[in-house]
Parts: sequence; C-alpha cells; structure tokens
Amino acid sequence: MIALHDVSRRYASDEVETTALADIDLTVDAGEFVAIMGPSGCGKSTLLNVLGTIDRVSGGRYLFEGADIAKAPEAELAKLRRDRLGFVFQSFNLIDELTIAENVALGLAYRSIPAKEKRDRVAAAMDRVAIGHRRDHYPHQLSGGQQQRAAIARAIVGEPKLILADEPTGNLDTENGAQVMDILSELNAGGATIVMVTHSPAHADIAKRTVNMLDGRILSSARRAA
Amino acid sequence: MSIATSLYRSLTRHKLFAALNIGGLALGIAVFLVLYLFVRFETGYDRVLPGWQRVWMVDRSLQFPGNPRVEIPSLPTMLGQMKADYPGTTGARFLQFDAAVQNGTTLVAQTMAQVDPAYFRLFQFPVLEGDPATALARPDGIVITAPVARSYFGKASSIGRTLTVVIDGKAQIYRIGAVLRPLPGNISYTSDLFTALAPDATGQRGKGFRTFLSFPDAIAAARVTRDLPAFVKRHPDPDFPVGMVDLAQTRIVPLASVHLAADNVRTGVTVLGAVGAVALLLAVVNYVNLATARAGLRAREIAMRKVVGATRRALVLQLLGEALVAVTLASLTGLALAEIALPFISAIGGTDLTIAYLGANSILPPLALLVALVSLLAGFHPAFVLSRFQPAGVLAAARTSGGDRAGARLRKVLVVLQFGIAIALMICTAVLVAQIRHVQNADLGFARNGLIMAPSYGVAAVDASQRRELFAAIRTLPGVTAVTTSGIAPTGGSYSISAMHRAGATGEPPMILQATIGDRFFETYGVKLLAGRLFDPQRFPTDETRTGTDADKREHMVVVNRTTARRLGFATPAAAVGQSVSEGERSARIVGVVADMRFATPREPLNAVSYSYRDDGGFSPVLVVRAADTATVLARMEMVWRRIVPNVPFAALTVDQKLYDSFYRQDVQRSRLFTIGAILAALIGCIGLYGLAAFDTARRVQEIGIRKVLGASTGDVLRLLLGQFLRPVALANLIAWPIAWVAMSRWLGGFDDRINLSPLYFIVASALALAIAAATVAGQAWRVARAEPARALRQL
Repeated sequence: MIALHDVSRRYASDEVETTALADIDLTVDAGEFVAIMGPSGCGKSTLLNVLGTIDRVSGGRYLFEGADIAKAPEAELAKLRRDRLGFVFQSFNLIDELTIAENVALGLAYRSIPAKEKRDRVAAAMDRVAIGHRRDHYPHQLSGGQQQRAAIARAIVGEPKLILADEPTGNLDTENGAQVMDILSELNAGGATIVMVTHSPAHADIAKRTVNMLDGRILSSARRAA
Repeated sequence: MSIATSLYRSLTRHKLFAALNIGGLALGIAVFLVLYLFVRFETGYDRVLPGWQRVWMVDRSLQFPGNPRVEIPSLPTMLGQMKADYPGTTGARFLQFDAAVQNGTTLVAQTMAQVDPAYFRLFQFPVLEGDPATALARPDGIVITAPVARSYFGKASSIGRTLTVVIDGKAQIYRIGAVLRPLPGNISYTSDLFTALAPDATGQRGKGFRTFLSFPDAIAAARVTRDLPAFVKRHPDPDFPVGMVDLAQTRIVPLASVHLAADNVRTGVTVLGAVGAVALLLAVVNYVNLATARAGLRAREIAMRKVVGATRRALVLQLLGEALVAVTLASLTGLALAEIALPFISAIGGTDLTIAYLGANSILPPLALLVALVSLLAGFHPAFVLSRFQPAGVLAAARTSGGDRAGARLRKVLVVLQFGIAIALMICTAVLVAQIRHVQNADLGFARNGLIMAPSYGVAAVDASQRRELFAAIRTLPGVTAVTTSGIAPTGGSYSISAMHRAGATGEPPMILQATIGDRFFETYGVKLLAGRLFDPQRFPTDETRTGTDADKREHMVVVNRTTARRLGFATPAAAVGQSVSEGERSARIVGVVADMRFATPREPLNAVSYSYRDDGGFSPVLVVRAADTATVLARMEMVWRRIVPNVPFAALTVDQKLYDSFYRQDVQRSRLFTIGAILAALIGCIGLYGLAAFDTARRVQEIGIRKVLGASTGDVLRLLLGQFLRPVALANLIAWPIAWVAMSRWLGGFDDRINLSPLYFIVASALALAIAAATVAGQAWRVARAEPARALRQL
C-alpha cells in the first residue's frame, strides 16, 4: 500500500542541520498493523508524520498506492489526507472550543457529504468507541481516555484506509490504554491498515509487525509469529 | 520585579504587540489632540480677551416670508437711545470697511474700523505701546496692530508717526497713538487699523454697523432683552416701511455665542470634535482588545505572583500602572505626531493651531487628564480580567481554557463596534466629498468659468464718469469677450425685496428679490432665455428703468427668472411673458423669463428674482467681465484701473474664486479635516484588527494543524480564517448604515442644492472596509494556512 525508498528528512536551523530520518526503506501492505519502536528522538514521530504527509521528505521516494507523492502539491496531499488517512495523537489534539461531536465532525468537514449523512456517520463513529453519551461536552470536561476515544472517533469517521497513531496510549493509564488498543485491533480486523508509534512493548506485541528505529534509521523489521 | 521592569520586558519581548498597542494609541491620541485644539480654538472665539463675559452684541435680522433670515446692521443711533432708555448702560459701536494705506506710491489694502473710544474698554486688547482710548480722543488719532506697525515702520517705535489712509478715495493723515500686540486668530470683531467714529456717525447708515453693550451680568442683559420689543416700537427704524417692521427681529446676544451662531458652523465643529473623540475611543478599544487577548499568555506570570503572595489589589494596581506607563508613552508619541502634523493640518484645514506648553492655554494639564482617563479606561478591564485568574487552575492546565471564550466574545463585539464606526465615517466621508464636489461643479444657471468680477467698480469713491471710462476701456481690452454691470452679483451685491402682485391672483403675494442690471447682463453670464426676450434698450427704449419723482409712475419692463414665474402662478415661462404685475406702487410688464441663476449659497433655496434694466447697472454696481484667460485679463484690467482711478485700490477676482471663498472654502476645509480623521480612525481600527488576527492565528496554530491533518487544504483554512475575521466587519454594517444614513440625511438637508443619498456610497464604503480588513488579516491567515501541519502540532 505504501512504500518509502531511501527517504531522508533533515531540519535546518540557523546554526545546525539535524537529520531526523536517513536511508529509510519501508513497505507497508494493505491490512497490516505495524508498530514502530525506538528510544525518544530516534525519528519515530517524524517517520509517522512523513507517512501521514503532514511533513515533507528531504529526499527519496514515497509511493502511496503506487504513485510517488514525495513532491506532490499541497492541495493533492490535503485531498489524500481527507479521503484516505486517519490520525490519532498522543496528546489527542482536540479543539478546546468545539464540543466532542463537533470535533468528531471535523473529520468530515472538508468533504461534500449531505448534512444528515454526516450526522449519522458522526453518531456511528462515536458509538463505535463508546463516547456517544459525551457528545455535547467540551474536551476539558472529559478524562484522558475519553478524549483519546473521541480523537479515534474523529480519525475513523471518514473511514480511512490507513490509520496513523502516534503513541495513542502514551498519556493514558493501563486500563484506558488497553481499551484504545482493543479499538485499534478491531479496526485492523475490519480491514484498516494501521501504523502506530509506541514505547510499550506490550502494545507493540498486539501489532503484526514491529519496526525498530535508532538515530533516524530502521534497525530491524520483525513480523510477529502467527 | 517592578512595574517598569515587567512592562519593559513585556514590550521588548512582544515587539509587535508593543508597536500595535502604543502606536495605535499614539495615533488615536494625536488625532484627538489635533481636533481638540481645533474645537478649543473654535469654541474659544471671543473668549480670549479679558472681560468677554460682560460683552453683548445687538443682533438684527430680517426675514421675508419664504426667504432665509438675513442679518442686517445695527443703527448708529441705537447706542445713544439705549443709554437714554436704560440708565447705566455702556457700550461701543464698531464699523468695519476696507481702506488702503499709502506706502510710497502704492496702496496697501487693510481692514479699518471706526469705533467709539469705549470700544477698547469692552475689548481689552493687549497693548504694545500707547493708550488706545486716549489715542482715539483726537479726531486724527489711529490705533494699529503690531504686524501693521512692523510692515510700515520696522522695529522702531511708531507712536507719534503718521499714516496716510485712503478711505473712499480720499486720503487722510492719521497720527499713531497706540499699537496693539499681535492678536489671536479667534476674535470676531477686530481690524488692522482703528480710528474714532464721529459721535453722530451721520452718513453711516446701511453699512456694516455693530453695536456692543456691556452688562455686569446676564440678569441685567435679560432685563433689557425683555424690554426690547417696546424699545423697537419707541425707536422705529426710519428705513423700514410700516409693513416691514414685523419682519425684523432685534435681540441682544452674548458676544461669545456669535461665532457659533450659524447651525452649519456649529455642526461642523461638533462633528469634528466627535471624530476626535471617536478616534480616541477606537484606540482605547484596541488597547483593551489586545491587552485582554494577551491575558491568556500572561496567566502563568499572574498565577505565580498570586502563589508568592500578591493580593488581587496589588495585581490590579500593577496592571493599571502598566497601562499608565503605556498610555503615557503613547501620549508623548501622540503629542509629537500632533506637533509634526499641525503645520500640514493648518494648511489644508485653514486653521492656525499651535500647541502651547506654558501659560493658560498649556496643553499639559488637559494631556495629563487625558492620560489619567485613558489609563483607567484602557487598563481597567484587562486588570480586572487578569487579576481574577485562579492560580491552581492556571498552573495545572497546559493552557487556559473556558474563561477565554467570554473574552473572545467581548473582543468580537468591540471589533464590530470599531468597524461600525469606521465604516460610518467612511460613508460620511464619501457623501461629504461628493456633495462638496457637487456644489463646486453644479450648474448654477450661468457659466461660472471665465468670469471676473470687480466689486471696487461700485465703491463711492469711483464717480459716474470714471465708471463710464472704465467700462469703455475694459470692454475693448484684448481677451475680453463681454462686459456688464449690475447691483446683484454672485454671493450678494445690492438688491431689494418686495411683494409682487399678479392681477387677479388670490393669496399672499410672493416676495421677490429685485435686481437692477446693466447692458448685456444675461449675455455676459450666459443665461438661458426660456421665453420672451432679453433687455434690448436700443430697440426698446422703454426697457430702461428711470428713477426720479415721475419716472416710477410709468410701467417698467422686467425680466423674471423661472422661480418668479412659478411663484406668480404661471404654468409655463411663456405664459408669464407680456403679463402685468405690480411691485409695491409701481407696475411692471414681464418681457422675458430666464433660467434660475444661483448667486446665493447652495444651502439656500433659489431666489425668485425680477430684473430691471438700468444703463449704469444700478446702485453700487459690480463690473463683470467674461474672458477666456482670466489671469491675463485681470492684470490688464488692473493697469486700466490704475490709470483711471489711481486713488482707489483695485479689487477684482474670478467668480469661481469668489464663490469658493464665500460658500465652499469652509466646507472644503472642514471636509478635509473630517476625511483625515476618518481615514486615521479606520487605520486605528485596522491596527486593532491586525493585532487581534496576529494573536488569534498564533493561538490557533494547533487547531489549524489539526484541520490540515484532517485534510483541509490551504484554501479551506484561508477561507475559514478570513471568514471568521471578516464576519464582525460585515456585521459592523448593521451599525454603520443607519448611523451614516441619519447623519448624512440631516447634513444634506442643510443644502438646497444637494446630491441624492445613493445606496452606492454605503455599498462602496462597506466593500472598501471589507477589502481593507481582508488585506489586514490576509497575511496572517496565509502564513498560518500554509504552515506544515507537523510543525504546528510540534509547537504544543
């Protein structure tokens, strides 16, 4: 489904150039559940951002379903994110000024869908992660686990082919973390491809493959024994 | 950390906010200061001399039915009669006219006033040397102002020296007895030269006579006011026919109220004062908006201060102190801006404003008051909001939440208010400029370009034979295409008003302005003949109106304008031709009807005029010349003039210039001041919007990142941000349109010749405001809309 060939990402500031990613070759097939692990600062999140097209590559090729999008115009990338991708963040990134239902609806805000269908899909997504009863609350009125479930609802309301999750359980306690992992497993079982950054070996075990990174490079890629 | 340190760091760390905050406020204060000086100058008229509270002026006016009220001079005998009727009354008379001072071989035009010696007790002008009252005790004594003294005698003392003054063509030698210090520009009744008025002042009737009275207080003045109707009956004006007595009004008014007595003058001053206040208000709103918007960013600092023991009172004082320092900085900057702008403002606004730092008119006390008020006004809300933060909540949360929503709503309301005012000012500016341009270019019924008028032709010092010689010489000058003379002229002249009866007509006869005109008057002005014929004394000798005992008995010929024909009840101009009418005891036959000519101000309705022909143009005629190249012809006319009447100063100018000086200049100057004020007010509004946009986009970087992650394109984000910033501006039209409509309807209502209040002004002003606001926020929105979402989300 996606393939990175010799991808690099460098950040230049006034004084130093930092290489966040180097010589990345990675292929993810449709239906996979890939966990990316590694110490802090090794480039996991940068890799995820590149996969999600919210960060640009400095070099190399990024094939999404066969098309090279490394240098695609911004409008095309926005369309790709809108139609094919779903994001879940460690810090939830819900908008404080919007209610939970409105936050979830943002996932459909840039598509032309009839209002009624939008409402139905938002309700369905919220029910799927058991957050429907909190629809009219604001993010700061919810617990961390509830906020993350709302964020997952926002990610899946557009029925994306690829879900990118950046430490989705990082800010959660064990119980809430387990709930989130259950939801992700279900989504994967339902056909969604998932790439997840995590620090938790237990959560990485739930994925079908684990990619280990260090200093911006991929060290190993191991498939879980069936 | 002291207030100063805290403010200094806050200013240097957030340079953009500091610049917007202090710059915007400084601009608002500068606009306010300039317009405050203007209002103080205008409302301070005649209050600059000591004892102004005790001076009243006799005010006489006359109003014919259907005509505007006109001011008429006071009578020379009135003061004596008042002194006799009301024992203890004191006062002085004032008669101003144009004179010329002989300086070598040239004549220099100066204004001259004949006054009673008591005038200088009523008007206590500052004296440089000599004693004005005793100076005028001698019949050849003269009092002059310091600038006049300097121009003729340099820096040496001029007391005891002589001046040759030409009055009505006759030279007289005066001895200087006193010199007045330079006078401020806001004194209504003053002059370059003062001489004594003869006690009986015979032969001065009908000139611009003024009578001033002195009362110890308003009660004494009121006592005389109550008796005035009886006074007027006891001493009737010998010039008034019996029927006219009721049309005249005599009042006594406080001197200080004279300058702003006219509605349009008062409105102009009030409006410009309001623009100044509004500009300041907009700047204060900016300060409040930016300060509360930044409140969230300072929450941690405030919370920490509370944690270490600051009371709410201490915090409020600190924040008010910061406002005081910021407002003081802004005021000093504003004062500097005002100083820099004043020469320019004075030049285009026709004012003579200066900023005084010392003395009674010092700007410093009002400025200190302004600083205190604005600090309180601008600092109170932010101080109240910020000091209310609960430290535990602020320190526990990553960001402040919840409470900011109310602040955001307030900011939106204030932006709506700001732009409402700014758009209203823009609409008013557009209408103002359009109307003023309209009256300057409107069809006056005659071709106003290429006309020269010479009022000096009619002064008493030029005799009938000189006039004939001048007329003949000027008519043959190269470049002159037509010449005429007439008592009536653009902006005034001499004429009379009387009722005109049409045989068989019922109801009140209309009051018609009666003008005498000389040869080729209509042809020279280029007036359209609507029916009948123009005067042609060669073919119709009876066209000539003769004066004298018997001459008036004969029916005389008149040409009337369209308004007269309509007022007399004729359905068409043609229907009036050949009809007989009576003017008082004379009977007249209408031989022609011409288009209306607007000689009076565009504020007044068109006059109904009946024209009679007289070979010499009538009483104190004005010479009017048509020429293609007015500048060259004016110079040639002056040469002719000097040859034929060397003892009378030549006074001539283009009709365009005369109309501008009399009717348009003040409106043009005031509208320029208004336009500048309005543009700056809109600019201040934009500064505020820019600051808010900068703040808001910075605060919303995360949200925009999320939206982009979810597939929003740059265009989507740009549309969202622009839509949100521009919604209050669009909403502001709801405030702006009714205010501007009411204000401009009322203002235009003061003009008889006016433009329609077209919706176009409203639409264009609103579109312009939206465009300006969009341009203001577009940069911010574009920057944040284009940012890579990963970077935005990493900032958290």
